[in-house]
Amino acid sequence: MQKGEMYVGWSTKEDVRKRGGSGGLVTSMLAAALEKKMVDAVVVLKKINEFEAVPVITSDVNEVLNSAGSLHSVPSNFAKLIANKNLKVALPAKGCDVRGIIEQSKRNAINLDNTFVVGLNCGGSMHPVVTREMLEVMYKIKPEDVHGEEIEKGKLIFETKDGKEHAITIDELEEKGYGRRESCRYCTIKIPNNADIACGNWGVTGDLVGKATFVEINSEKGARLLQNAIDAGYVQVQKPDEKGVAIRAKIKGTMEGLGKKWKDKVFVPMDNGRLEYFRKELEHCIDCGACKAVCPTCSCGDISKCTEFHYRGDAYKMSMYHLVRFLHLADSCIGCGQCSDVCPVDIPLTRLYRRFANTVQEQLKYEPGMDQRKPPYFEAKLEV
Amino acid sequence: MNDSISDGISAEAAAAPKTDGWEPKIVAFCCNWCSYGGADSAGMGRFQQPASARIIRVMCSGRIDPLHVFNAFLEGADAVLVTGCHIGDCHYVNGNDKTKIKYKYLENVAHELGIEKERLQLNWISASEGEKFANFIRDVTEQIKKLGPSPLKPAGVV
Amino acid sequence: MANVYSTICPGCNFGCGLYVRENGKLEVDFRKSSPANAGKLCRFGMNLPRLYAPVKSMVDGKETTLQEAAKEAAKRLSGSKGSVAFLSFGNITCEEHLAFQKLAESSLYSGVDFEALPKDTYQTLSVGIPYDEIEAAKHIVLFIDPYEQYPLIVRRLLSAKKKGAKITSVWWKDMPLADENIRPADVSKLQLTKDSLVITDFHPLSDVEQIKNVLLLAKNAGARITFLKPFANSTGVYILSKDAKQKSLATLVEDINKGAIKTLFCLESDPVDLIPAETLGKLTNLIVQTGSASAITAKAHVVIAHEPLYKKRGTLINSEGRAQALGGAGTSGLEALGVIAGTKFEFDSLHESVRKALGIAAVDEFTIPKYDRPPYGAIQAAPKPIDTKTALVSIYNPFLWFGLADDNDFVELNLNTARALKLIKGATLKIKSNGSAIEKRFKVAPVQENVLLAGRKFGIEKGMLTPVEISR
Ligand SMILES: Cc1cc2nc3c(=O)[nH]c(=O)nc-3n(C[C@H](O)[C@H](O)[C@H](O)COP(=O)(O)OP(=O)(O)OC[C@H]3O[C@@H](n4cnc5c(N)ncnc54)[C@H](O)[C@@H]3O)c2cc1C
Ligand code: SF4
Ligand code: SF4
Ligand code: SF4
Ligand code: SF4
Ligand code: FES
Repeated sequence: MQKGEMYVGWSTKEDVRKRGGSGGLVTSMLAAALEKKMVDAVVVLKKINEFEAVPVITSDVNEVLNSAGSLHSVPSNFAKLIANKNLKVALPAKGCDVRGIIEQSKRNAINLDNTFVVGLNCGGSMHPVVTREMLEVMYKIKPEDVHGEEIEKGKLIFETKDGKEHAITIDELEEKGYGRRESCRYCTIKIPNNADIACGNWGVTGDLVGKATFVEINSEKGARLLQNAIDAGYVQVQKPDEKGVAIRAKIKGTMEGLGKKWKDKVFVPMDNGRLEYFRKELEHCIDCGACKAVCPTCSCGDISKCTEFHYRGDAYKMSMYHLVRFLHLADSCIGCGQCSDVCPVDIPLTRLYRRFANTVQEQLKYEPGMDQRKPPYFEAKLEV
Repeated sequence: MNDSISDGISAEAAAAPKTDGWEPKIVAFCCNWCSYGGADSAGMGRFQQPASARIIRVMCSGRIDPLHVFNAFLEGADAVLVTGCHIGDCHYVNGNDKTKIKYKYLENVAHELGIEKERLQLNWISASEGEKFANFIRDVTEQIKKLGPSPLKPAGVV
Repeated sequence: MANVYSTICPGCNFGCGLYVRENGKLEVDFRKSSPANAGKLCRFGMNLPRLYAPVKSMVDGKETTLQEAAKEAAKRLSGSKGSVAFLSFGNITCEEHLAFQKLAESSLYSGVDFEALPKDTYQTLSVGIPYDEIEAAKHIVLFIDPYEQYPLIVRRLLSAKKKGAKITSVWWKDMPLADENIRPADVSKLQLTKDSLVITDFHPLSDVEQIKNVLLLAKNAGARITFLKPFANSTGVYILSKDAKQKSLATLVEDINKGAIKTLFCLESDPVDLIPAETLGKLTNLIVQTGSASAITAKAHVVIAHEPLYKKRGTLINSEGRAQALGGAGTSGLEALGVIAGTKFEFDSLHESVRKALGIAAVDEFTIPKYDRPPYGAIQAAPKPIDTKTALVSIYNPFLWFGLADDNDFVELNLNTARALKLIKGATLKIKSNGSAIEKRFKVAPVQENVLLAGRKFGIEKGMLTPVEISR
C-alpha cells in the first residue's frame, strides 16, 4: 500500500457499517489504530443528537466505534483541541481541520509524526442553530423529528422518523440565508489531499453506494493506518472502478468551481469606503477574545501581540487587536469560519479576514495549511 | 511615541481643526545608520523642509514592526513613512530585506483596509541623501495636504 | 480522557450554554447548538476558568470535609436561632433553591427588593420575554448598556434592527446600535407605543423607584417590558419563591447593623463588594457554602465547599424562562444543605417539584414553558430625578458582580469634559468623593457631560451613582 493509491472500503462490523456516514471505514480505521496501539488516543464526536456532538479525546475503543456517522450540523474544530497536548493521536478531519492541524504543526504546537489525520471530503457544514431554524421555516419539520440527512444532487435531504424524505436544493436554501456556513460555500478544499488519507462517498458506485467509503492514500502514514485496519480485520477494501474514480474527480472539479463562484459573489471588490466598512463591522466588538481563542491557525497563548498591545481604555477609531489580527491572519487564515461562528455580536469575521487573506495569499502564492511551507512572513527574504 | 504624534487634548484641540494652513503630522521611522543620517543632513543642509515630520529613530528598519505603524495611525498620524538603508547597505546585513517582507504585508493590509497609499510609504535613503529625504518629506506633505486628515485620527487629536 | 461538561455560564441570567473541559486546567469550548447563545460567549464567559477557583471546606481556618463543615454550620445556625439570615442571589440550581428555601424559612434574602414593589408586578419582574420575541419587536427601548452588562443580547438587538426595528437607548452614553439616544435625565422625552418593547434589568442594587417608573411608562403605553438579571438562575429563584417572603440586600445591611442578624449564611453568593466591611465585621458567624473561592470565602468562619456549578446536576432558568439542565452529576450542594437542615434532600423529588412549578413534563432547552403574564395594576412611582451634576456611574457587569478583575481600570468621559478640565491624553483624572481621592486613566467616549462611567469599582463608590468632583 502506498501514497497515491485509491480504494473503496467498509467496516467489517455490521453495525458500524450501518451507522457510518458511508460504510464506517473511518471509524473502524480509527478504532483499529487505537486497538493496535498505533496511537494512544482518538478524537471523536460524541453524538448528543443530530445537531450536537461533543468533541472528546478518548482511549476507549468502544467510544470510537460508537462515533460512526457524519454530522453536517456540527462545525467542529479539532486542531485547537489537540494542540499543545503532546498526544499520539488519530483523528477524523474536515479540510479545514486538516489545514488547522498543519498550521499548528508549523508553529510547533502539534507534532505531525505523532498525528494521524484521516481527512473527510467536505461539501460543507452547517451551523446547528441555523439548521434548526431552517428546518422549521423552510422544511416545516420539527428538528426533533429528524432522523438523518444527506446531500444528493445538489439537494439537502432530511429524513424524518416517519421514514419520509424532505428535499430542497442547497441553492434555494442558501439564497434564503440558510444552508452551509458562508465560509464553506467558498471553501475550495473538497478532497483533503493534505491529510494522511482522504475519505468520502464521492466515487462509490453501484451497490456499494451508501455502504462504502472511497479512500485515497496521501502519505506513508495514511498507508500504515489503512493497512493496520485491514490487518486487524476491522475493514475490507477493494480497488475502485474506473467510473468511480472519474466521477469523484468530476464532482471535485464541479464543487471547486462552485466555490470559486461563491467567492466572487461574497468578495465583491470595494473601491471606496473600505475603512468605513471595516470600522462599522467592528463597531460592536466587545473584546471577548473568542475569535483569537478559536482560530485554528493561531498558536499564541494568553499573551500575544494582538492582546498585549490592545488596551480597552484606548479611544482608537479601530482596535489594535483587530489590526494586528488582520495582519497576522493575512498569510495564515484558512477560511474555516470558526471566528464568525463564535463571535458574540455576529461580526462576519471570516469575511473580513478573507478580504486581507485573499489578496496577500494570492500575491504570495501561498496557501496555508496545504503543505509544510512556512508562511512567507517568517522568511528572511521574499521569494515569490 | 505618543508625544510626537499628538499634543494632548488640551487648548490646542479646543479650536476646531482648520483645513487651510493645516499641517499634517507625518511619522517617519528612520534607521540609525542611514535614513536617520539622511534626515540629519537634510536638517543641516539648506534644504527647505516642512515642519510636518516627526522622526522616530530605530536601530534598523528591520525593527519596525507593523504594529508601530498601526499605532502611529491610531494615535493620529496622517502619514507614516518607513525608511532605511538601501538594499545591500543594511548595517545588520539583511534587516531591510526583512523590512521588505513585512512592508509587503503591511502595505497590502493597509490598502485593503482603505488607508490611501499616500499615507504609507517606503523609501531607502542613505545618510548622505539629505536632499532626497527633504524632498520626500515635502512631497508626502503635499500629497497629504490634498487628502486631508487621516480618518483614523482619534476624536480630539489634531 | 479529559472530562467534558455541557454547562451554562453563570455570569448572568442570559443562559449561555458552553462546554467546560477539565484538561489539567479548565478550558472553555463553544457549544454551538445552545439555543440562547448559539455557542457564543462574552468576555466573562471566555474567562470562566478564572471564576472557578478551587475552594476547600474550612472551619475557623482549618481544612475539613464537606460533611464536617456542614455539621459545624448546623451547630452554629441552631445556636443563633432567630438571628440568622440566609442569603442567595440566585447562582444555584432550582433544586438547591427549593432545599435552601426550606432551610431559610422566613429568613430568605434573595437580595432584590420585591417587598417595595407591587405584588402584581412580581411575575413581570421574574420572567422575561423570549429572545425570539425581542428580535421580532418593532421598537426596542434599552435601559441597560447591552455591550457591557448583558453582551449576548447585542446580537439579538442587531438582528431586530436588521428586520427593521428602531432602537432607542436611555443611557448616559450613546450606543453604537441605537437609532436614538436619550439621556436618563431626559426620560420624559421617551415615546413609547404598544409596539415598544422595553428592556431593563432587576438586581439587588436596583433603585426601586426607577423600576416602578419604567413599569409605569410601559404600562401607560401598553408596551411590553422584560427584565434581564445578573445571576445564573435569578429567574428560577424568583419563580420558585413567589409565595415566599424575600428580603432585600438593603434590609440585610440594616438588620446586621442593628444587631438583629448575627449569623449570615451565604449560598453561592459573595456580598463582599455589596455590604460595607464594617457591617460584615459585626457578624458572629459568617457561613459560606459555595463551589468556588472568592473574597467571601477568605473571610468566612465556616466554608462548605460543594462542587463548582459546571459539575452540578440541576436546572437553571434563564431570563426568557427557558429551563436548561446542567450537564454535571454532582449533588453535594444538596447533601450539605440536608446535613444542615437535619434531613435528606433527594434530587429527584426536588426536580419533580421544579417541573411541577413550571408545568412541564421534562426539561427541554428548546421549548420555553408557558408562563402566565398577568397585567399589573396602577403603580405609584416617585423617581428621584437622577442628579448628575458630576457623578461616577458604576456599570454593573458580570465581572463586577463576581468580583473578578477585568481590563477596565479607567473611566469614560466626554470630550468636552476632557477639554474643560484641560486633561492631557495618556495622563490621569483626579476623582474626589467624600474625602477620598483617586487618580484614574480616562477614555474619551460619547458619554453625557460631567458623567464618568466605570465598569469596575474603585473603592470610593456610594452605590451605583456617586457624586464626585473631578479635576486635572
Ligand atoms: C461536515 C461533513 C461534510 C461532508 N461532505 C462530504 C461530501 O460532500 N462528499 C463526500 O464524499 N464526503 C463528505 N463527507 C464525508 C462523508 O460523510 C463520510 O464521513 C466519509 O465518507 C467517511 O464515511 P465513513 O462511513 O467511513 O465514516 P464514519 O465511519 O461514519 O466516521 C465518520 C467520522 O467522522 C467524524 N465526524 C462526524 N461529523 C464530523 C464533523 N462535523 N466534523 C468532524 N468530524 C466529524 C466522526 O467522529 C467519525 O469519526 C462529509 C463529512 C462531514 C463531517
Ligand atoms: S470550511 Fe471547508 S472543510 Fe471546513 S467545514 Fe466548511 S466546507 Fe468543510
Ligand atoms: S481567522 Fe477565522 S476563518 Fe481564518 S483561520 Fe482563523 S478562525 Fe478560521
Ligand atoms: S469574537 Fe467578536 S466580539 Fe469577540 S473579540 Fe472577536 S470580533 Fe470582538
Ligand atoms: S456572562 Fe452572561 S452573556 Fe456572558 S457568556 Fe455568561 S451568560 Fe452569556
Ligand atoms: S540598518 Fe538601516 S535598514 Fe538595517
